[in-house]
Amino acid sequence: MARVRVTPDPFEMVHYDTAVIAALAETIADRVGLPAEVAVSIEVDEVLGRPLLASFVDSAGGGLSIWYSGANFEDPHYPRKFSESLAEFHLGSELLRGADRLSPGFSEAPPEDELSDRWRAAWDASVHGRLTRLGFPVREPLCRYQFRLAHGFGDAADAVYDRLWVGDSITWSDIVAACDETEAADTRPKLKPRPGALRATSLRTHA
Amino acid sequence: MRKHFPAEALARDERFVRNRIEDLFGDPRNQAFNERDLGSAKLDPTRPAAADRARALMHGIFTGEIQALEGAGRTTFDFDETETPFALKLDMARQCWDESRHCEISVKLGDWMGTEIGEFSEQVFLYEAACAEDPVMRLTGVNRALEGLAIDVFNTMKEFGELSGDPVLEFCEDWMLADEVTHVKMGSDWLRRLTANDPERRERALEFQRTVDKLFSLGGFRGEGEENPIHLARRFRELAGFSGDEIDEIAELATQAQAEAEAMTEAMSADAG
Repeated sequence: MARVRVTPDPFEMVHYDTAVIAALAETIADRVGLPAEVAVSIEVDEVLGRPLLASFVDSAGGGLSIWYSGANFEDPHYPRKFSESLAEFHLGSELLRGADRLSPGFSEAPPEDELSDRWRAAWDASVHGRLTRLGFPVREPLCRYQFRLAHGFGDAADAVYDRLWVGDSITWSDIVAACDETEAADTRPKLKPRPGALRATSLRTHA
Repeated sequence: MRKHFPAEALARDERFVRNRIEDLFGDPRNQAFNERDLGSAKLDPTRPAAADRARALMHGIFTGEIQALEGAGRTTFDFDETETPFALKLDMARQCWDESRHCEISVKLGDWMGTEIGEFSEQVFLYEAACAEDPVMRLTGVNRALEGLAIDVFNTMKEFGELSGDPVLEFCEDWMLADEVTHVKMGSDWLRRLTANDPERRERALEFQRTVDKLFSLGGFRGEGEENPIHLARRFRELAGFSGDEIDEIAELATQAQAEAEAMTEAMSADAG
């Protein structure tokens, strides 16, 4: 039995192929160093197209459960069309974050529903830096912008981002320390969600 | 040199991909999406996928600026002085200067936000509004409708920059917003002057504007509710010469456009089922 299982099978609203995504995920799991015995379940919510990019990975029973909005694999030029390069990047990101979750250094990491935007952005910065060094198609300026939105537009946040980006042995406590550092330097008023606004994790609970 | 240039012939390099707005309304995901309660759609840094929403909108602004430049440029050239006063052409030339600068600012903002030129597809319905044969219709279609939409969009992006603490985005949008208010005001002023003795022509032009405003509401993209990503910037529209009644009318057109788009989605789903 393959270690990667993808749902839905088949896709009905988008031109994605379950087998293609599963095969790509198998290859990428090896590239990011995910142990071969780890089972991976990938659920794609095909209703959520661009620009609603969101993804989550949780570990359970030694395996990984990954949820993606369909936007992660969608060609920005052609609605509903599959983009292999974007799929490579987004599968790489969550499989690497999943590998982190299974490692001792991230045993204290809270489940996805409890991750703050700041924690998540810091973790992503570390993951994207490592993906770059593994040869994945990563657009650094985009990663930096996403980090700045969560951590602030200033030198202190940029310095933390640079440190996370180049680090190869990051642990959860490093992520928390980095976030404490940027929060202390962040002069922005605390962002409060608008009434009725959802957190990113709410996207999957509404599926 | 050719006059009255069609949208299909606009010059773009290989980075740009064009698609049709109609295809978006025919997306089979729409109905299932509409049935979910995803809360407020207003552009906000605390919303899911805020970065990607902002980047996509910023790229839309960039291609809109290119088309606004092309539209104003055509109006400078397409008519002789019996059809448009030289002073109007001069205003359009000044607008080209502004739009060129906006294109450059938008490219820099795209870099700042991690977006590549041509990353998102382009629709040319903005330019198509600039192809009317009567210059007065171009004033309503381009200066009052298209540039009016720009006011709403820039104000939304400026607020996004302010909320997220991004000084680059906030100030750039504010500077461009100031220009857009001027462009709309030019359209309002010239419309009044050119049609002072021709109320029928003015009414035809305003009717064209209503059509374009409804189209530019993009089936709920613009409106005044929490479900609308872009909100009408009432104060800036007043500064640009819109009356309160005119703004109310645009809000009503936006509501109609949203209802029609939802009905279209339901009809298409019923046909498909």
